[in-house]
Amino acid sequence: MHKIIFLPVALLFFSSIRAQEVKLSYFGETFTHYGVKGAYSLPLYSWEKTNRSEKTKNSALVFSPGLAIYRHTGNHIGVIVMPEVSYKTVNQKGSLFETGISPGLFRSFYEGQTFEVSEEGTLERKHLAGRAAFMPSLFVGFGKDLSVQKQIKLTWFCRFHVLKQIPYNKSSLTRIAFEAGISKPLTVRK
Amino acid sequence: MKKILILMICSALFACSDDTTDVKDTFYLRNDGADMPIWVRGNLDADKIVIFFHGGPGDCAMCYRYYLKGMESEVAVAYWDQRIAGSSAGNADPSSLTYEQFGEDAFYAVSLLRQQYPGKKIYIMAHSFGVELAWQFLTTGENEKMVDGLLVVNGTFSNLRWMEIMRDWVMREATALQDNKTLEFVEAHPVDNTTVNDVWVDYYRKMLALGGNPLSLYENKKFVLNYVLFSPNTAMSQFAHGKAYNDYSEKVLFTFDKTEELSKITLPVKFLWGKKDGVVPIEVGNETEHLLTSTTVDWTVFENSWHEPFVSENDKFIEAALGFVKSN
Repeated sequence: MHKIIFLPVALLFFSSIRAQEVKLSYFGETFTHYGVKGAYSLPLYSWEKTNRSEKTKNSALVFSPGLAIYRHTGNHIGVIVMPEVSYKTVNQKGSLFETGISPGLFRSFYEGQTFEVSEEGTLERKHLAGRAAFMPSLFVGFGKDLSVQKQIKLTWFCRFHVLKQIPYNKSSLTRIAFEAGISKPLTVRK
Repeated sequence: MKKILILMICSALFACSDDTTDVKDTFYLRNDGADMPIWVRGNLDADKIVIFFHGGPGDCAMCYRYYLKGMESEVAVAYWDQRIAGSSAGNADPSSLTYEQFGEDAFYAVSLLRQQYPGKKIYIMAHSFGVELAWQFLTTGENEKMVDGLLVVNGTFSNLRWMEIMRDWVMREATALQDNKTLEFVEAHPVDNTTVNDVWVDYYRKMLALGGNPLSLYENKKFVLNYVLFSPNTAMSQFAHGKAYNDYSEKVLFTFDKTEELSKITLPVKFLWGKKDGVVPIEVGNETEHLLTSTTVDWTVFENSWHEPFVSENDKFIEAALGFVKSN
């Protein structure tokens, strides 16, 4: 059973290692609630398309597991696990467009001492208090692959995320986030 | 050069130590599914804390800091977001939106402040729905002994009386403006125990249409920017809370009536009222004063204000509120 799972994953990993990337970015929940996000990007399927005017576009379906941490000062610190699946396209000038979705898991850690009312009616300190929730999201982004025209093996990108925290009380809470960062391709050791 | 550097560092250190009485604490109160933030900001020199009971229900406390910050130079202010309101999180059930539960939360919010700041005097500043919550809290058990004063800002003691008085306000304003359509509506829709649930939303809309509260906080761009981007508020949460109040509006709202209980109140009370308010007209304040037979009420009326005098006449409001807190 383990072999059945391990083999395709290993094949996928080694066959596409040249296209894999690591990403590091500023992650600002509501723009200003600053944080950082790291991700590892693995193409699942890629293709090239040339139109009538002989302009080429490289496209790919990409899987990018990532982790974002941000701080909303005086409110909470948020940790989001973001396993993204995205569609990405780069034209022959290196301009990048991407859009994707992510299921996601969220955990908040309140930035303040938390006291819970006990059954006896006393206030008891709770450490690392916060809430866990699902956090599906979608994003659109743009950027530039600098390797296309400038031979620099780096891509910069910006993304706008809409995230949904479920549950939030008995409802849900929409959050927005801005992400800006760089991705660098992993190279094969020789 | 070295000496100058050391001198600069020392002055910086002493400059910081001058601020020791400034408080910037954040607490979360977890009760019955709700995680409610309480931000304490300001000056503890006077050993006095004002806890703000915000309106709504479903509004926020910290969002009004922009307008109440003037108090923080002389006292500490505790901004408490109630359950399913403001930045409160958790998994609180909408069925917990009852006056009893709000009152219990208030008891623990005040208890938390008393525990964290022993010996400090605590005052409640209540606005709109927060006033209902304040009466609920103060008329329950021995709660009144936990605080040292109450500041009432445009709020009611009975929601049926509130709506009856709003009907009178609508009739008066419609008469002045010769708004016959509204007058016909008022004639056809009396307000009493049996009708209030069906007509109150219409009266509220007509009151707003007649200029009962034309002030919008969101017209102040600086306030909005601060609220969304640079404050501890969870700005988007305001869009998440609304639906939770359906049952409250239909089943709970008009059960609130403290007419018979206000005579129990003995602590000092200050009324700060926007005179032009149609949301909770000043006549509600006059009636409340008559019911407070065991204490005296000190008034400041804001001639050019509606429902939020702390927004429209901020300096005068802060001065009047601080005056009361300092002298009690």
